[in-house]
Amino acid sequence: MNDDININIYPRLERSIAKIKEIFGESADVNVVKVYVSGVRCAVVTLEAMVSSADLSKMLFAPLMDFNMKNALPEDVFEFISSQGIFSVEQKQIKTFDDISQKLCSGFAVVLVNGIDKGMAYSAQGFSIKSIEESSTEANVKGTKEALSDNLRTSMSLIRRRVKNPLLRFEFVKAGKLSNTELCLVYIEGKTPEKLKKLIRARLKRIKLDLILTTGSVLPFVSENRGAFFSAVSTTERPDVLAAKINEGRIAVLIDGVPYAAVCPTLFIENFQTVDDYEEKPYLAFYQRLIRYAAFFIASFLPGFYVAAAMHHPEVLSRALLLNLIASEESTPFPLVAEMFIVIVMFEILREAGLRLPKAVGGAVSIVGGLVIGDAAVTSGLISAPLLIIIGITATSSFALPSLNAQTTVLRLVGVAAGGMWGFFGMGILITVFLINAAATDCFAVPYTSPIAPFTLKAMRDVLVRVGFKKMQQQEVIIEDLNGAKGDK
Amino acid sequence: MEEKNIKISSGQMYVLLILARIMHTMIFHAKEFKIGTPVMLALVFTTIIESVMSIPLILLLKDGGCDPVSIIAGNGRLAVFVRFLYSAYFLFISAGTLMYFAQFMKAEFNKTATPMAVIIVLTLAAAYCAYLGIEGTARAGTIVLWAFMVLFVVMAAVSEGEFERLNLLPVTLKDTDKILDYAVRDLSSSWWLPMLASMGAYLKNGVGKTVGGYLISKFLILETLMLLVTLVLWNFVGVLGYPMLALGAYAKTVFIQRFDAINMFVWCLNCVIVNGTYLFISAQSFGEGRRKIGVAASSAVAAIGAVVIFLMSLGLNDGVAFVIKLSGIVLLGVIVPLAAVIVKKKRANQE
Amino acid sequence: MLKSGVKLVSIICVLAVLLSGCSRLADVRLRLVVHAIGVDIDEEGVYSVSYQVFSSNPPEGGGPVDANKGNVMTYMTYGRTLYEAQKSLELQTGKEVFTGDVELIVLGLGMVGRDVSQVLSYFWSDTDIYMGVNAVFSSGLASDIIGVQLEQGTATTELLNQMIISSVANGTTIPARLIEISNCFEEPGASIVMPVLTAKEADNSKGKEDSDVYDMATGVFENMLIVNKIPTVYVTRDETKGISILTGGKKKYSLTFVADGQRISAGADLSRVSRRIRIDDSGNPVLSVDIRGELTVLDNPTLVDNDIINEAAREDIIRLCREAYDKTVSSYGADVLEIGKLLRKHCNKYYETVKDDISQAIRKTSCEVSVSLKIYENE
Repeated sequence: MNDDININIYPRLERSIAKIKEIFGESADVNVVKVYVSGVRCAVVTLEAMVSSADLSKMLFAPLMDFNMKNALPEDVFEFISSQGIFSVEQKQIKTFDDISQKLCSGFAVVLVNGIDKGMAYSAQGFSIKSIEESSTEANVKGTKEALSDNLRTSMSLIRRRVKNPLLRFEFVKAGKLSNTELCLVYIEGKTPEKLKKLIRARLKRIKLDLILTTGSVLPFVSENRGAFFSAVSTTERPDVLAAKINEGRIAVLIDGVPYAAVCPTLFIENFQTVDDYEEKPYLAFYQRLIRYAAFFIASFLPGFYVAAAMHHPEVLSRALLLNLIASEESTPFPLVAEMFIVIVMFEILREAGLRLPKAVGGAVSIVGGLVIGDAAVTSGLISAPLLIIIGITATSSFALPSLNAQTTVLRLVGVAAGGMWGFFGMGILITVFLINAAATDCFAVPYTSPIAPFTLKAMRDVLVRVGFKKMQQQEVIIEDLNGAKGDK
Repeated sequence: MEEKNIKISSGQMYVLLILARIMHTMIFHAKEFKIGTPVMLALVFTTIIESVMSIPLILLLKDGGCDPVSIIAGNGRLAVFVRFLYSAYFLFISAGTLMYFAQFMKAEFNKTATPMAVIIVLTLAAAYCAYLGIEGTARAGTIVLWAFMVLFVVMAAVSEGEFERLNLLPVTLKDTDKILDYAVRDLSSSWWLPMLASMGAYLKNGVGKTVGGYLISKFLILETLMLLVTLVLWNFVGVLGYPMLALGAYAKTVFIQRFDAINMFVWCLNCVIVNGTYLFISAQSFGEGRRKIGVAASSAVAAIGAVVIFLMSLGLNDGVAFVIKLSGIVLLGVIVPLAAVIVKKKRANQE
Repeated sequence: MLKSGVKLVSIICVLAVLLSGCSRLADVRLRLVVHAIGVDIDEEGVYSVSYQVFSSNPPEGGGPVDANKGNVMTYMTYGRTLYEAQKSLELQTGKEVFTGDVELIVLGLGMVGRDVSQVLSYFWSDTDIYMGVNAVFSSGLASDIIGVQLEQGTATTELLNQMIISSVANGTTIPARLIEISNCFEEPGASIVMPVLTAKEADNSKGKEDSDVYDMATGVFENMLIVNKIPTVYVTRDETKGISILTGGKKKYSLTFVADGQRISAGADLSRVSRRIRIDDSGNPVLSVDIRGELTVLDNPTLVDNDIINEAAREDIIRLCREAYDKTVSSYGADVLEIGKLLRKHCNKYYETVKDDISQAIRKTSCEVSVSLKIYENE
């Protein structure tokens, strides 16, 4: 709250309007419409393109013009607009200029009456918002295709449609000194531990950034692990996933203007769960999860192990593979480690290019770039074919786990360095260090590596194998069950 | 990083203890020592002896969360001295483990990394474990234990050797020396007792299951290993020197032609976890000092201490090392907990 | 300032230590992959070591090297020790010798009469070599086997190993792997049979009477008996078969014998071979071998009666066992039948009295063989 503007509205209308213009620095998008209502001077203040003109006409101007009272006093007019004549889904009496500025920025129309030191704010949002679209980062085959919206209230409605219960709670918190971005805590009363709610609220209130424009701005404040390689707070674009997670006692944070929600606490195993697992039969879900776990290890460690085996421990490789490797490396000018780094960097560049270019072109560039460059590199003898195959498999595996993309990228690079320097010893050290880092990560007393370590049998029902829904309904598992989450720490 | 209220379960404690024992078996060099039925019999006796030695700890920690040093000596000078002994003992054990691992790397993978590089990298990784705390180490240890069991089973399953029952020779009176020799060696590796005593304060629940589980699984794992080595490898284990490595040397699959490097990889995982535990125990034994200098600094000091002791003990006689280990086990793993039990009982009677 | 300085120096020292091993790294293309090693020795004790290595030279006309086409080359080096010879190879080729892919070790005929453990110990202590590698003898020079030329080119190690495997399947040889040889040599008085690879032109395409009728070119046609680590005498394929039967090494054998004047081929599945040892009244060990199994008649052109076939098969097996026993135990006191181990396990007291001169005790061991077969006609 800005102390300069946290002053009461002036009874004199002209003075109030001048103050509003001063607060907004004579900004061109401030609209002031002066009207006479039964002889009393009033003003309707809005921000350009934030309100719907049609709504305002019907909801505000028409009733104002229809109000006809003989010898009306300002108090009568204010009485009319506050409780008798004008009704909106959301309306609030405001007393300070700070309230006026916040409401105007949120798409409200503010009505001031000459002689009254209060005003009324009416919800009339008419700014353009994106329609509900398909999720771009969490694609699925079956199930809903809706994704959260940039607009906070639209997102809230998507969640409410899935949890039609009064126990679903939304709590607003504002953050961002300049942006005053609305954040919304979402949880199910009775499932989320009280301590978790209090902690998250307190942490969000401690955010001192000027602007909150992304989920990434909020995550570091919500998470409590400095130096953690894996994040114990995840994001999701899907309202169904969010609903499922809060049903397990987690808490989500929606951010106005961002179609992603931050969810905490998160477990490592959740990166391997998708919506399709719950659409298909358990045996298929089991198979698909195995593939994803394998994909993680391939994406993170295959290049490192390959380099380690080729350079330090060739006796591990089968003869055919070893001889192919030697034969193909014979003509390449670079050492194996350098080749691997070159190819990894090439792949990352192609991936970035594919992401940043327009969709129509980006995909083609990635494919053409990969095929042409890769093929040319092998034909010219710059890199060897087995290495390109390894990177191809690695890259494809990394696409299977978009939520772990950052981690697999870093692990891949560090793995190649460690494997190239010290072989399997280097890989062993690397894996242990990251394993311990992950194991030591926790979010509000819930260990990140649960329910594998510490082992919780009943929570293993959805790790590798997904038990059937009939069995799931027999016993509930919430986040508090996972070692120490009962708020006693 | 702030020191949190750390608690580990009996299962996690078991994982740390069994990993420490397995680590010792992995890097135990059997060159002059023949594995066979006398050694298998010796293990039965040592298991019984260890069970008896663990009684004071079971009585003391039956509900967990108990520090024997505080019970005996509070926070006075005696407590500081005893904690210093624990700290120094585990630095010594850590230094020994590092040395054996470095020797193994030098003997089997001398082109991969120099011994000094191995020591330093391992110590840095272990210090990082100690810094992150025992909870994370224990959780990571669970996964490493699984990795070890999978490796062991896979190697045994794909071993190209055949069981030669003639290798199972009867035990005679002439083998008494051998049985005694192995029994004493095995008992001198029982530093799980001081480990349990020093980590008593971190336990969430009682140690009965931990001790029982540890003794049974240690017995089963070692007996199985020795049986496999005796039946399949026989004298050949003396050529390579490392029983587990020898088991892997005669195992082959379509994808993995040799298991040496795979063994080294799993041992490396284990070594970091185990040394991390030792450094943690050593660092937390600094007591008040740890709170003053902080978790990171105390872990670093413990790591440096382990390297210094390693360098100092390079020329150390095997017999002296053996005496130090055994004395530590008896004093810190049996006598201190026993004293704590007696003091605790006396206080309870007085109340 | 001081703190930063200390930090910087520490980092430099640590890096120096950590990176100090990197210079010994061998890039994969600088490794010379050895498939097989042949060791010959002359009278002066100079080793001639032949190496069959993977040739990564691209073919004439350019193009990639096809690792699947058996591109191999043979190198020969000399040295007073095997290590010296290996070093010489490294100097010759400029590459680091990689023995992790070795699949065959061939000892030349020059080893006969010498202690082979002195040669094989070099391979045992090589941590790269797989301990299940076959070790064989050569009927001539080891280099003849390593570089033997067949119609498709140099015989690759896979092919040579395949020959050994085929002979093992036929029961005419017993594989000798490094680990088994090592274990054998640790046992006092123990002996072992090693295959002998022969590479020669076929000079008798029609075959002689009573010999197997197929061309002799490259393969395992006989074996070498190693007694107390010294290669002593050749052992025929039949004698080797007998040793294999007596030790219960294999389960299935192919037999060709004469029954009622007719040559019969049969397959014997000797599923149960139980061995017992006892000390007889004269204080000498007696090895009793009870062999039970099933006989499947594969080729009975004149339809000889099953009982006659069964009896003939029994006698053939007994004959093989007797020949094996006479050649090894009786003639040379060679403990290929694990008599020493059996004595140590079952007659420990007796073993303790004779262990210092176990060969003598083995020579005095007699052998009783009983064979019982069930016959099945192959329809």
